[in-house]
Amino acid sequence: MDVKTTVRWAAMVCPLVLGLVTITPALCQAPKAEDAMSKATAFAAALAMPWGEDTQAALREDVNAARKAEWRVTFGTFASVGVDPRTGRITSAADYSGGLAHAMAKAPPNLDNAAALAHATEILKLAGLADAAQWGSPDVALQEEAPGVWRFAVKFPCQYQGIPYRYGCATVLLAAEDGKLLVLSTALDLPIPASTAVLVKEEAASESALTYASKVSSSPEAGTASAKLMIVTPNSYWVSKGLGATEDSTIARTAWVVTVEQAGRQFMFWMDAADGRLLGGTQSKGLVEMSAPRLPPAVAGGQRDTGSLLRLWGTALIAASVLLAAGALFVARRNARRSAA
Amino acid sequence: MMAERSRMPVVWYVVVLVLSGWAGLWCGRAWGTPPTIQVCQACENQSPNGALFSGTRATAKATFTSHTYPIKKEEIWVNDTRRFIWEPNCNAAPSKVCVPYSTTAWADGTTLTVTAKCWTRERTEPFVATNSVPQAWNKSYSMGRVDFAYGAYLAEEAYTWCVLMNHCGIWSVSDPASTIVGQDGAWGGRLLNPTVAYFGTHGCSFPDDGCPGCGFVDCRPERNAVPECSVASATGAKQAAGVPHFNFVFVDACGSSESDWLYNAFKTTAYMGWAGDCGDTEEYARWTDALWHGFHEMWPYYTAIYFAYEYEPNVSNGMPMGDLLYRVHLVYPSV
Repeated sequence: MDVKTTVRWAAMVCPLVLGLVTITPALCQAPKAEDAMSKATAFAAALAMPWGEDTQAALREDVNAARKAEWRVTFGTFASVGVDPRTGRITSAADYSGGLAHAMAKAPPNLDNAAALAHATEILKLAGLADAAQWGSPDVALQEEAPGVWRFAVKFPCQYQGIPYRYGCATVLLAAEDGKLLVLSTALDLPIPASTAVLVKEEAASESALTYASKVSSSPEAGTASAKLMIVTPNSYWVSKGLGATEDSTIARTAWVVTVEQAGRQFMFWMDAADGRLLGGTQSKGLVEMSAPRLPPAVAGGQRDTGSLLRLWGTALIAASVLLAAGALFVARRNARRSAA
Repeated sequence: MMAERSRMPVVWYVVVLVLSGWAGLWCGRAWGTPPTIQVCQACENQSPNGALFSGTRATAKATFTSHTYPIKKEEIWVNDTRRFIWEPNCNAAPSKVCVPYSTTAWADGTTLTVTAKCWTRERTEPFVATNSVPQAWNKSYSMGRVDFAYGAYLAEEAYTWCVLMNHCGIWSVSDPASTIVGQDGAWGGRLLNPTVAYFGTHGCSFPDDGCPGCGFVDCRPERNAVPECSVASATGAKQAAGVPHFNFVFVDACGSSESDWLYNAFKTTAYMGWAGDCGDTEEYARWTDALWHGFHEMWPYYTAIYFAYEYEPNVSNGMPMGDLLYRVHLVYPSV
């Protein structure tokens, strides 16, 4: 073969080989709808959810800031389950026949926080997200999901080396009546921060935030600041107000998240923990003097109050016993003194 | 002979009479009194000017009366969609038919024509009657605060989703330096026509500064006061004008669902607000977007809410009120 022929052959074969090399791994890892459907069906069966076998799968992309792609498996019109195409983990689930669908049948909460947490942890394990349950201290809240309809919201925050992410978690919503899964939602695949070094002091970050707040607010009030160390991905929230500069939003940073309360407003400034730069922030859509959260009737004076009532009764008994004992001692001494006299 | 002669005309008379009777009967079969059809639509859901309200279960009604021969087939169409068909079976043809439909299936401004058709055995062409009304009243209004990062974005998103749901939409941003009332000319004017509304702004949920039942924009006069009483007054104006009530209102502001003040003031079929605090953040924006997506998918309200929760794990304090089975964008399937 002469050089020309070799070159010609090489020009034909090389792109083919390159193409095959590029495509093969993608083909091998290509997400399969059947696998996603069997995972979702197994998850539903493990939770004894009556969603049936009529499943369909569709790939959806860019679900949220952490879920870039997932198979959305729907069970008729009853439920949907999201499956990560790379890991096969269950990343989301929603039971459309849940509490809101039966809002007229208002049942009182029947679980307590510990039971809700245990059940939510079990659900995460079934979903293949056992690691998420161990990251940080979960937050359990009894919430009113519609007037008179209660649910537990169990939030498992994400953290890296003990520092929580501002965005990202696994949230499990459970019917407060029987612990039935309503919604599982996650944002777990988060970027690792460039650094966890904290070189700026909390006070310095708070002071800078107060200065920024005075620039965005027309109020003459100084305001108060509270700071929390968190991992954030920068945004350009305050850039349009002339504060800070646009930062690379793809690199996670360790930052002081400073909340400034000023004239009834809440402003959040994210200050880089390494060099104090403003990385972004946000503001609340409300005033800080929020009303107290509403409590379900059972909490206000039902079965869940039994413990505190018993404790009150016990305290009253002990106090009465102490008083009786003191009285008896006083009488005995007085009698002794009288008989001695 | 005489007798025979006198009998002949009688025979002929009888023959002619029989023939003419038969001919009359034959003609009657072909050109007998046609069936009558009376059509009306949305009789209980029309505004004073005759336009249809959006999102309401409008009804196409037809009364078929057959004078000569039995009806063998009936159909009711709303514009180009067949909503009802009856063909011969064991039962007699129904004489009165009511077919529900939703005006959100058509874009605002569309003329809705109900066509009732029936066929008799003797004719291949149907007997037809129609009734037209000028428009479907699908209008939306969305507003976001200009100083929010997601204010204009969410207002425009609400507008876009509403347009996709056949609503004639308007969206605007509010200048925080002036009140919404001032910004929009007349608050009541803005609220008069829409049946779907979105407001992204600041809120509170407690009686404050002499503003009992404070609404969704800051209670205090210097901060764009639009308390619940203003909303009630605006919705009262809607009622007085005989224009459609709200089908869905989303007040995207802190504490907008802490109480049912706003829900009651808006007199809306379905309502969404927040129990407690909410942020001008990406996660709340995504949640809101997902909710609109759910409406566009024609899901019931509660399904759209669960979809939004499933979509965005960092938000869990949405508090819906009203009819949780309601579908903002409801299209009845064709028969």
